[in-house]
Parts: sequence; C-alpha cells; structure tokens
Amino acid sequence: MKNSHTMSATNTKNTQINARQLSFFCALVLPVGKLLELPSLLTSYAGGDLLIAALLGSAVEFLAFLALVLFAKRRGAPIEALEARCGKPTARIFLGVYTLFLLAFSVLPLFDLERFSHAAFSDTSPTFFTFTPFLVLAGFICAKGLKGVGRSADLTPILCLFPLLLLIAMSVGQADFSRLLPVVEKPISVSAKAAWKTLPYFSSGGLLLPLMSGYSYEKGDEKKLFPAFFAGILLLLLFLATFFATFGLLGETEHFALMKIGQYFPALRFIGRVDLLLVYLVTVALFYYTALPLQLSVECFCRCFSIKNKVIPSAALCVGLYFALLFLNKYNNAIHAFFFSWLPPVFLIFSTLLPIAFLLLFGKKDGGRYEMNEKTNNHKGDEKA
Amino acid sequence: MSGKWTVRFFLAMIAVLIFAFFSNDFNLVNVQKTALITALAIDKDGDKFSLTAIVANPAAQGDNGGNTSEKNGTSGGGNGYSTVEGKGGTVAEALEDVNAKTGWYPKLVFCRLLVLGESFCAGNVFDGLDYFLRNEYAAKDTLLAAADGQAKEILTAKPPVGGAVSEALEKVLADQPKQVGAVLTANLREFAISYFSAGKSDYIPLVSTQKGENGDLFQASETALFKDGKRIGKLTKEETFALACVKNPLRLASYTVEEKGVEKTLLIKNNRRKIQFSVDGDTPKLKVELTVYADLADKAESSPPSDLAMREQNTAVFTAAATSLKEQIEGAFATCTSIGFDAFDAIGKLQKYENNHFDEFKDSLIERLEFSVSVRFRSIR
Repeated sequence: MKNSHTMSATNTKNTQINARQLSFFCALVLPVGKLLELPSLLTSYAGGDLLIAALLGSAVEFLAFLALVLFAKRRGAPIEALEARCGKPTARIFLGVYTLFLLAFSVLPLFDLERFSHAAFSDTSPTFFTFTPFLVLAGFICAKGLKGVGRSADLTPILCLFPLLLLIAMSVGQADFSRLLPVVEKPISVSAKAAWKTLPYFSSGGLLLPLMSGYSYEKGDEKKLFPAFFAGILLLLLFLATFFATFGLLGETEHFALMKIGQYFPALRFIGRVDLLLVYLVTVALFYYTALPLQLSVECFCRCFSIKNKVIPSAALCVGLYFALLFLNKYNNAIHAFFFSWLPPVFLIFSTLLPIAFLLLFGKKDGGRYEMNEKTNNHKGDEKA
Repeated sequence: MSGKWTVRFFLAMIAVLIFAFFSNDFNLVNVQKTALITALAIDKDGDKFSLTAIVANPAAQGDNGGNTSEKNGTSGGGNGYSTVEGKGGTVAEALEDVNAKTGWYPKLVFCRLLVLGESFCAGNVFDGLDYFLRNEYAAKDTLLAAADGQAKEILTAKPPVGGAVSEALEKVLADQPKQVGAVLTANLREFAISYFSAGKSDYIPLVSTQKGENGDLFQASETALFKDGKRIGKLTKEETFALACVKNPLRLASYTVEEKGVEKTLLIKNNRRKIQFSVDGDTPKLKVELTVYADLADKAESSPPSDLAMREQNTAVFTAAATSLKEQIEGAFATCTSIGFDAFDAIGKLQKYENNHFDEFKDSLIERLEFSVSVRFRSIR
C-alpha cells in the first residue's frame, strides 16, 4: 500500500530551535557537561591516552548526531515519525520509557554539579541547602518549552566560549604538553574500555532525539551543524590536553577540572582567584546542560499523558529531586560505580542505537515529513516561551 | 490563568528561600574561625607526625598581635601570627591536635609553604604529603622546602625585618631567586607529578638559617634530592646553580669565573637550553646544549676606560666561563648519577620519545646513560 503510514496532520512548521541555536548547543553546551568529572575519570582509566578514549567516545556520539541530522533532513522529527507510523499508544509508551531514561541521564550531571558548586564557590563544606536555588531555577526551566533551549544556546558564546578559552590560556603557562607523549602508550583496548565506562558522558544523542521535535531542517543546515559538532569535540580535546599537561597522572585526583585548570596562573597569587569569575560564567551554561534532561523529561512526560500545564509536573520533579539529592548525595561513589559498571549498555541503546534505528526504520528518503503539530502537541507553557 | 499561578508559585518559593536563608543567624562567622595557616613544618617523632603551624589570626585593636599562652603549646609569632604545634599518627590527626589546642580551625587554603624536616624526609614524604593531595581545599601550588634537622626550627626562627617567618621564607623561595639560578624551587603539584611519573626523581630546596645581627637569615642555595619520595642526597650551591642553568630559564643571573688569575663576574641575561634524548643501538644518550647570553659585569681588578666601554668581546672570559660551567654541570650530573638520581628526567624522556625501548632500559638507564654537555657563552652585544 502506498504511503500506508499517515503523517501527523500539520500545515505549519513549529521551529522552536533553529540551526544556529542547535549549532551553538552542539559546539558549546554539550562539551561543557564533560568538563567536571570526566577529565579525572579518563585520566584514571586511560592515563596519558585519555585523548584517544575521548575521541572514541566522541565518535560514538557523532554517529547518533549524524543519524539525527540525516533523519531531520529526510523526514523531520523522530518522535512525530514514530507517532505517525506506529500510532499514538506506541508513541506514548515510547515517551513514557524515554522519560525514565532522561531522568536517569540527569543523575550524573546533577550530582556532579551539586558537588562542584559546593567545592568551587565555598571555601569550607557548605550545607546541602545552598544548592536549592538551582532546583528552583530548574523548575522554572522545566515549565518552559523548547524555545527556551534555543535562546539559552544563543547566550553560550559569551558564557562558554570566551571564558573557556581564557581559562585554557591561563593554564598553558604551567602546562607541559610533553606529558601527553607518547601519543598512544597503552593498547587501544584500554582506551576503548575507558570510553565504554564513561559512555554516560558521551550520550548527547539521548538529549538531541527529543530536541529534534523542535527543530525543522532547512537546506544547508548541515554546513552549520557538522562543523559545530566537530568544534565541540575539538574544544573538549583541547581542554583535556591542557588538563593532562597541567596535572599529568595526578589528574586522577583533580575532581572538577573546570575549577582546577586555571588556578596556577601566576597573577592569581596577587589579584586573587579571578579565574572563578570565568568558572562562574561557564557554570551558568552548565546549569542549562544539567537542567536540559529534566526539561526534556517533563516535556516527554506531558506529551505521554497529554498534560497541558507543565508547572505541576515541573514542581513535583524538582521537589522529588530535592529529597533525592538530600538523601543520596552521600552515595556519590556508589552511584558513579553503578553508572559506569552497569549502565553503559543502556546509554548506548538510547543515545546511539535508537537514533540509528529511527533512521533505518523511518528515515527512507521517499515519503513526507514529520513535524510537531502546533494544534495537537503545543502546550500552554509554550505560548509564553 | 496558569501564568498567574506560575508567578505566585515562584514568588512563594522565593519567600521560603529568603526566610530559610535569614534563619541561619545571617551566616555570621565566628571571628576566631577566620584563622589561616600560612606555613607548616612537618617532622617525624618516632611513628608520630609532628606539625608546627604558623597561624595568622585576626588581632583586636591594642592587642599584642596574637600572643597566646604557652601552656596550650602555642607561642606568639608577633603581629597577628602564632606558632602552634600538634602531634598525631597522621598529618590530619596532628592538624586536629593543633585545632584542639587553640580552639581555632584554621583554613589550609592559604597555606603557601611546607617545610619538611630531616626525620620526615628519611621515609617516604608522601606518607604525610598525601593529606594535602586528598584535601580539596589545600592549595596544590604550595612551596616545598626541606631542612637539615628539625623543620620546626626553621619556622620558629626570627626574621630580621619582622612579619611572619613564612613571608620571609617565601621571598627566598620565590620566582626571583629561581630566575637568577640561586634556588631550584619546588611546589607540591610538580613534586607529586614527578613522584607518580616513571622517573620518580625530583628535588626540593634545602633551607637553612644563619644568625644575623637583627634576626635569622634564610638561605636555600643547596638542594635536597629525592627518589621514590625519600631523600637520597643533596647538591652544593655550585651544583645547584649548574643544574638551574640547564633546567630553568635564567634572567639576570650572575656567574663568577677566574680567568688569568682574576675573578670576573658575568651577568647572564638569558639562556637557551636544549636537552636531547636518543637511543643509539644499545646506548641511551643524553645531550645537553646550553647557550648563555651574558656580558661582563665586573672584575676584581680595576679596568681602563677602553675596557669599561665594553666595545670588544670578552672571548677569553667567555671561554673560561663555558669551560667552568661545563665542568660544574658534569660534576652535578655525576653526583646525581652516583646516588641513582635522574637529574634531567631521562627516564621520562625515554618513556615519551623512545617508548619502544622503555621496558628494555627503564631499570638500568641511569647507569648506562651516555651524557654529554656543550656550553657556549655569547655576548649580548
């Protein structure tokens, strides 16, 4: 039967994120989420071969990104395609399961950010309560639509790019890049194992899949998107190289690399830790990155249960997170061990294999386009976004 | 309608947060808890670690700068500094002893100097230094210094100009003495990186005191050599300078050489260093090429105006200086090699640049290394 599937009835595109914003997101927001614990973890697992491990992880990420961009170019939004091809009940089950995945995705960035904000901005061990403002902010962000993601991405060149480059420049004087030699010291299996264990950090495909519902491909967009993604990988590799050049194998003990990397700049001894101003700017972008899986999980949850008002689910999520963090922040090591030992296959499936599956199953070149329907999928919260 | 409720919800949250924040006694800080440790001396007393801390504490107006009773194991350091001792099975326990004796809980984030005593350096210094690597709030760029005898005696010395002992010591261990080749400085981060690297060799300046008229003067012109965290030897003042010429960029350093029976001092403007490591068949080779840009600064005898005008190159002096410095570098290298110290990180270079030979040579590299050095002095004019 020709065209047995039905497209989501749509007459208008709903572009909430454009290519420029998505490019900034890929180039700056995605790498920023990897600058806290990942450098010390890669040093621990791969030693001087941490760049190789990061490249392998980024390659897995790129596969997902490539699949999603190709799908967007050929057919539009993946979730809308699933709904059109397999029906609403299937799409709702998918969205429900994906909500759970996104909540799991948010755990590592949330716990890392909580500990990081305490270590970076307090000189003694502060109470947990000081992290509450983030949860309030996350609740606000979760109540907003995907347009807010795009607008946040537009701010990232100021928040991320210049501060990060300045931080790296401040650390270059104290760094010995010959510590990265030899380029490949250990067998490739060591780097592959390191990349596998840290796969939860290289799973941006899991965030991009639901984000694509707010993006509408236009001709020539790939000329912005792919270079932006590669730029993000380069930024990450530059940061990791500078980190290892500064700390060598001692990097394993240096948690929260973002606040450690620039602190040995000689002038700071006299003018104080002004590098923390740069760290603070990047932390704002980190907030966006950490809040994004929460926002997307609320989005998926509301679509799953056809809830129009996102405020109550957002508030409930943030109150739940507050208590979860309160009781679980003593179990950081156990949580990290669980994620790195047991969950890499889960992240691989949802973040990389799923986008590829969408492309292979629903992404054939012939056929119509699937876009988010303004009439059926728009939520009241989006009107104000 | 939902927009209004959103605003009300967040206003209510803001009110709750403000209430909670201000219920924390406005987060007032007990003034005694603003005490800071500026320097620590670590000695070993049998199995126990003995810590001597210089604590900067806020002094009330009219107070005698922080003098406290000696019965608590503290003594006045003058001008808001106190010296406090503590003992414990670990460095952390010793620090807790310091806290318990004074009632202060000084922060380590401003501790800029660690002095390691001879008894502490006889064992693996990382038995104690690990504490600072674990501690998230301790500065990793803390300067390190070693002492012959008790490190406590260094920190309890009386500086001639006044102020804290730690400040006087930091001047001796700072960038300026490093740039003139007088001191081979070390900080905790670099020392730890070397300890965890393949070579496991590094150095720490050796601090000593000299009685002066108005107080004690500090010197750090000798260097303690460490391998695997243990002190294994030391370099003299001349050997320290020779090694500094190769390892560090120099700026306005002075070098005195005897030429034709007359002492002549050269002012070194800067130096260009090249250290090449290679494996030639079965022989690992280390080649040092040093070019020193200098000018004649002074002679022990008077000079005519034509000489003072400095229009001609002092080839003979430069040749004598190059020969002398070359001998000193070779001597320093021989001293290091005789005790198994990897002076120029040859093992690290073997791992980086000749990794395929690493397993073959790593255990016997120091003994088999063929070392050559060439030194050239060039005029800056």
